[in-house]
Amino acid sequence: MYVAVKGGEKAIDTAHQLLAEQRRGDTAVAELTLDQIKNQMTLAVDRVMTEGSLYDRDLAALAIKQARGDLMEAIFLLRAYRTTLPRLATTEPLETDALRIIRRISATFKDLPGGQVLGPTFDYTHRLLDFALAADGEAPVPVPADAAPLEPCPRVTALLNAEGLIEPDLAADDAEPGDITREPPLYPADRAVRLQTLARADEGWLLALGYSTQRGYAKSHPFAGEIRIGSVDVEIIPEELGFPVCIGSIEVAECEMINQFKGSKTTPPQFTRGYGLTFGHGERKAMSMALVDRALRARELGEDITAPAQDEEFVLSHGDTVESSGFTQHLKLPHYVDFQSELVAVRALRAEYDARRRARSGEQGEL
Amino acid sequence: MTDTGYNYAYLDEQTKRMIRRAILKAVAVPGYQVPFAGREMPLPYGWGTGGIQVTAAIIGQDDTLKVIDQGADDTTNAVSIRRFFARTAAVKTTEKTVEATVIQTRHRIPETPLTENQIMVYQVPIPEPLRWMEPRETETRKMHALQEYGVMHVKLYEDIARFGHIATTYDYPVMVNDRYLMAPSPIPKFDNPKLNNSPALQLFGAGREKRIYAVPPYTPVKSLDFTDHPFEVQRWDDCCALCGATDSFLDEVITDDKGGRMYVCSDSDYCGDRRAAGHVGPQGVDADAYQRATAAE
Amino acid sequence: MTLSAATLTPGFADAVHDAQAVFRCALTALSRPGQWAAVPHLPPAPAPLSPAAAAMILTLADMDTPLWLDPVLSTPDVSGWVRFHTGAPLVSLPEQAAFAVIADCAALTALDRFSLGTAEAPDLAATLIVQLPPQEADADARILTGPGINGSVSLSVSGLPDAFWADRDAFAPLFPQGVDVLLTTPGAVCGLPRTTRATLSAAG
Repeated sequence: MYVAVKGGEKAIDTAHQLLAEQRRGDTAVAELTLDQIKNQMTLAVDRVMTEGSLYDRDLAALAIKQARGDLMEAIFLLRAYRTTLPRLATTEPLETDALRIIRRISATFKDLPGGQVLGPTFDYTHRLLDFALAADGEAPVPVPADAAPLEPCPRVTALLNAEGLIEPDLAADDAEPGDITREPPLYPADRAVRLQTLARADEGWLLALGYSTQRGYAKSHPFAGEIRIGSVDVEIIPEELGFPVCIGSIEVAECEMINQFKGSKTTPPQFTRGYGLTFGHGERKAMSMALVDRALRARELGEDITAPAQDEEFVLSHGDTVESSGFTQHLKLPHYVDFQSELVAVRALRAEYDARRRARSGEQGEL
Repeated sequence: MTDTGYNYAYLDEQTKRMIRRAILKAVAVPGYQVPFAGREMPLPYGWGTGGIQVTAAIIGQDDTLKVIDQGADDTTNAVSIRRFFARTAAVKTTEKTVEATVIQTRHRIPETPLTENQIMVYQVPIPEPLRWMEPRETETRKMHALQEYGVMHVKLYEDIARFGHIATTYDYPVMVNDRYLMAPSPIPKFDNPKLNNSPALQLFGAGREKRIYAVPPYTPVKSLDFTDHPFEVQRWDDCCALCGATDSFLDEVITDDKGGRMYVCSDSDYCGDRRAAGHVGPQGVDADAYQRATAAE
Repeated sequence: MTLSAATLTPGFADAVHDAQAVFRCALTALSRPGQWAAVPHLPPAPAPLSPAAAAMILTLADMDTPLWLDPVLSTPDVSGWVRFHTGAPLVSLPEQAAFAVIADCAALTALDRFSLGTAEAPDLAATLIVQLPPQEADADARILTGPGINGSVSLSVSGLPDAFWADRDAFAPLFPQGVDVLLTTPGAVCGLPRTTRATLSAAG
């Protein structure tokens, strides 16, 4: 006797139990605390906040713990939580000119006002495994705080702008920027919508697309004009007050790429911009984003659209990790019915094919 | 009351209103894909978030919800979605097609005929029937506006040239009310005739692609075909091994590694009803023995 | 436009479940054109806004839906009530409206004042919420056909000008563009989506 497979409910419960067990691992090892994740896995927290579109270090740490360190899963957790939050206010644009800088470098000028500030970076580490860390290394020696406060750091693009050699920053118009969390994506998209979409896009996707532009698929001659990391105040203007109030500060990484542009009949030869911004210290993502932003400006700048990174609908509609991860993995779900439909069709077509072959070889046999 | 600390049926009221407005416009323009600001749901994209958002926007305390995946109520994703609504909307659930007021489905339409008191909610992965011929939404939007559907006929005709038949077996394209080309979601073409002139309202939700569309009750839905190659549905030489049905969509079950297989109804409720009514297939047992066997699990 | 607590009548008793039930009523109305559906929750609306029209507004309108009130309804009480309960921006031009609420049915002509949507985005068309005057017993019967209707259905409505029906006919070749209409009596609603064709009954 055959009884159809049952027990989906029980299977799901057991799967959740097993998952919890795997997450915890060996109970002889102390359980990871959120403080440890928040303070020692900072770049993972930064990435989850950026792509999860929610600046909350505690919740990001919780998501990472719950997801067993799978950052895409953690991003999904944060995003699904974020979407249920009420919208209380809209912040003023961040004044990143006033960034309290911990890192600032420019690849375009050897020295410049404010100087090059290397800050905490992997850049010049030799990638040798540090076995001292494996043996519970001692606490690092703190860097003494600089006695003199950092000089003001005018933007590299502002310095070029003073000379008229770079396109002016897009004039702030009165139009409200779109909101990708409240409106369906429609193409062509304006730059504000593009930047929002890139900001929450998968870092790997942007990295690969940005890289492709460097290899000649939409060459844009990029220079890292400036990369800045630091904290910046977030302000809102309460309706009843009418003036800005600081509600806290966040850490951001910002990248301005400077790209060549030949100019046209109406525009003088000048450099063009690409912009990237992330929460936390997401420097690699900010750089990738700036490359892709510039590539996507092809239409606006009258360039030929020939490469994947310039194709707005392609780039924007495939970068969201919550979407791509979900749809790729949905192939795990049962497709018995579709597959059965194909089986029936392929068997029928195959039978006809074989019959035709037999008929043909029969005819040949008669000859 | 629900136990989650979230709003009734998970979505906030503003989001529900936005989805409800999209649904009303979808009903007013049958087969047209209304863009909507789909939200992230606590289940992954591709796992029914569009259907879940539509269900969450329409469902109420008086409803009885049925959820099926591949025709069955007990597949894991159907169980998971049914639990989600039982938990967030405290809604009555059922496995009986005739008891349901809202039926959320992935890949099937129940064999039991639908009624005027029911709403079907389809989970849709790719809402755009023209996608495989033209991936750009900017282009397909124009093609729908101009009712320019030649490429779809060309595609089907190429099948005929190559195979002698139209080779599309599921998500088989349909024309709604003689105006819009529509993807019926990946239901087998076996189910396409049930879309036509259905007494039930049919709603389609694509969460990741952020589109909602609808077929109102009693609306003509025609599967594309050619005069010399009329549309036809799948047929099996076998009947359901459990209930003996010859009129249902059959799943193939591999029983050993020596080519042994049997066919059983994909619609678990339909099959169960038939067995309860005394129908016995070649490998089935009578209703009482079946009851004992399943209760013993 | 000032609003005092004394003149402000409440919205739904249960914002979540009442709105859900009224939405289902609107959904039934538009998916089964020509059939009257009783509106299950009727808020105490400020006159001259009818309870059924008020229920539709509470259910469907919010800050994302520009709403137009016809001159009869543009009173401080009605405007204030709509603003307070929905946050919908009130617009002065009919073509700006996602929802238009009409009490003066005799003036419901020139439907092309309202947004018909576009061929590429027909969902941007307006929805008209129409408050019918008290119905006369010998109203003209119209035979309705189209999606949502099993064969045909007869609808008798008085108070709508001939131009209303003529404009709807004139829009038919423009489909998918058009306007969708929710007719209301004080306690019921009846849908006339753009797909519904209406002809005067020969018997009428």
